[in-house]
Amino acid sequence: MLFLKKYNKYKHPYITISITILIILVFLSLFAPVITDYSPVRNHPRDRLQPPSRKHLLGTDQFGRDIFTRILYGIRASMQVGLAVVILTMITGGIVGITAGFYPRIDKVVMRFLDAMMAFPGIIIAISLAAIWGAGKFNIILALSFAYFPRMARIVRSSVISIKDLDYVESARAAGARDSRIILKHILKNSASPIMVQATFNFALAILDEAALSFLGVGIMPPTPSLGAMVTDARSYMVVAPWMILAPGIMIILAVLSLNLLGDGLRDLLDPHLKNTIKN
Amino acid sequence: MRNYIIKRLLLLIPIIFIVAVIAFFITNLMPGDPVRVILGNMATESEVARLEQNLGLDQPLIVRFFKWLANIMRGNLGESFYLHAPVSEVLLQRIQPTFLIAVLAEILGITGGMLLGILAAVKHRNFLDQFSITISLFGISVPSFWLALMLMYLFSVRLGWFPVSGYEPFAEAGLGTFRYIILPAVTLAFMQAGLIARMTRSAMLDTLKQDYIRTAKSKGLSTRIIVFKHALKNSMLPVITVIGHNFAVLLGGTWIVETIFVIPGTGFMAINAIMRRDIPIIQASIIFVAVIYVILNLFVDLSYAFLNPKIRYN
Repeated sequence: MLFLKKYNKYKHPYITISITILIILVFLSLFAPVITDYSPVRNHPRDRLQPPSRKHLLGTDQFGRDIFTRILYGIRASMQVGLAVVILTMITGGIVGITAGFYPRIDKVVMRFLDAMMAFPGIIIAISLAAIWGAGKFNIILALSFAYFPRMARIVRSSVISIKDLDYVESARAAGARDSRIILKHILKNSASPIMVQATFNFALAILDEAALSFLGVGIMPPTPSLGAMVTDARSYMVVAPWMILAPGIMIILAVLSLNLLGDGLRDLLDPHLKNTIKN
Repeated sequence: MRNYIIKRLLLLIPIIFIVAVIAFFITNLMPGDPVRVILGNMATESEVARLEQNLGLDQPLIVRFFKWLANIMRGNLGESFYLHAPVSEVLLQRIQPTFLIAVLAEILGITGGMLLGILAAVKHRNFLDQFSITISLFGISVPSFWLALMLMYLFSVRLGWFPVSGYEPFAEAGLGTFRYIILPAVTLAFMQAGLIARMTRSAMLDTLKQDYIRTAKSKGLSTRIIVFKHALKNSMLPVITVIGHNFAVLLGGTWIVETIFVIPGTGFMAINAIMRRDIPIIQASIIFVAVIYVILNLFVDLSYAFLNPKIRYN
């Protein structure tokens, strides 16, 4: 990997800090069942609305469920959604972007469609689609991927266009390489940096939007723990149990902040010229 | 220039057409049968059939699509399934709070974001730079629904400065209306400020490296004049682009904050319509947002020519 060669943990503190936080978060979400003995879904009416204590590190919610436990499982859901959305947008955006960039005849039609898609705020497309397909983890993954792929496709397209007429591609063609070989071997490899940077920002955005969808009740459905839905619950108890709302919010911020920081770091590391071309 | 504007206006037609197509098919593929939602579980088959016929839902999708398209071209957005009023009327009634929130949020976001960005660029690698980078990073990382609830808790519940929720129209409450929209606007402004500050900073840093800035400095001009008179105008292009692109994010945000603060604007209406399967209202809300975004970005493109005389559209 190109970026590993350039990376130096002292010269790039943003990347170091954000990767450390992300590794901790991934660890917490992977080993949630080992770290905590409580169940994220079982109710304990006798322990309801307990403030943070040694028994319940971050307190309990209105059903007596341990908030620390629910946050671990919640960040797990966020990570799953984020990762799946990133992979799906890379595949769909990649295919559409390469096709549009490589074949000028298709480009015009595809670009008009993408322009129109970009006129809809991502969250609005996602809310509408999630409402159509019904709530649930799988559906919001599809909805968010559908909302984000136009931007990824545009980034891939512009990077393909800037590469495809360079001399080395020309010479590969002269040597008799087929389109598929040129795309896979030369173009994809050399447009990896902007794709990776955008993928990192998409990851952050997906976590934010998943939380918003679950908050509105069209995302991950209760009792399955989700950070957004935890804020919905906490809302009614804001005055009597403020710890309920602080914990999930801070967890979302921590994950999104470190992903955005990583995106910034990668962008500076991989290609300083990208600074003005990629907008989150 | 005039030809360019006309060309761009004509280009709006295919884009808005595709927008309408997407909006129609997204909303009409909703699985929950709107007729069953309206009538409830106790409805008989004949009642369902009658209402379906009244609402025109018994026809095939493609027929409905062309009828709907023909109506839209005449400016007829249809009639709400629930409110029994023309959609355009309903939309107009709810536009004021959304408009006020969006404009106030944009003003606050641009002012805050540009100030932070300029400060960071001028004091590059200084404590102030770090401070403003941190603030803007938080701006794009804090979920707006959570921030809205936090502001509500602090300023409405604890301090009692603003009402917790609700809205009074401008005609009745006058300036008192702003008591209702300040917190939603600040919520949305925070994210905009973050995005704008990041772009202002990097554009400003690029500009400050230019030769003419060095010339201005060696002439002995003060930093203030260099920054605000020479550098700012030349770094505005990417900043304005970011403002235009993220206006969609802002409009999407109004859906969420209006729902939280129970403000009867277009976003609150849209979310309610989605929950009730009120298809004409959902379609109109989606198209409304997209059309505003497209038109605003047309203005953004046109403003390039004013900011940079080197750009000429032919």
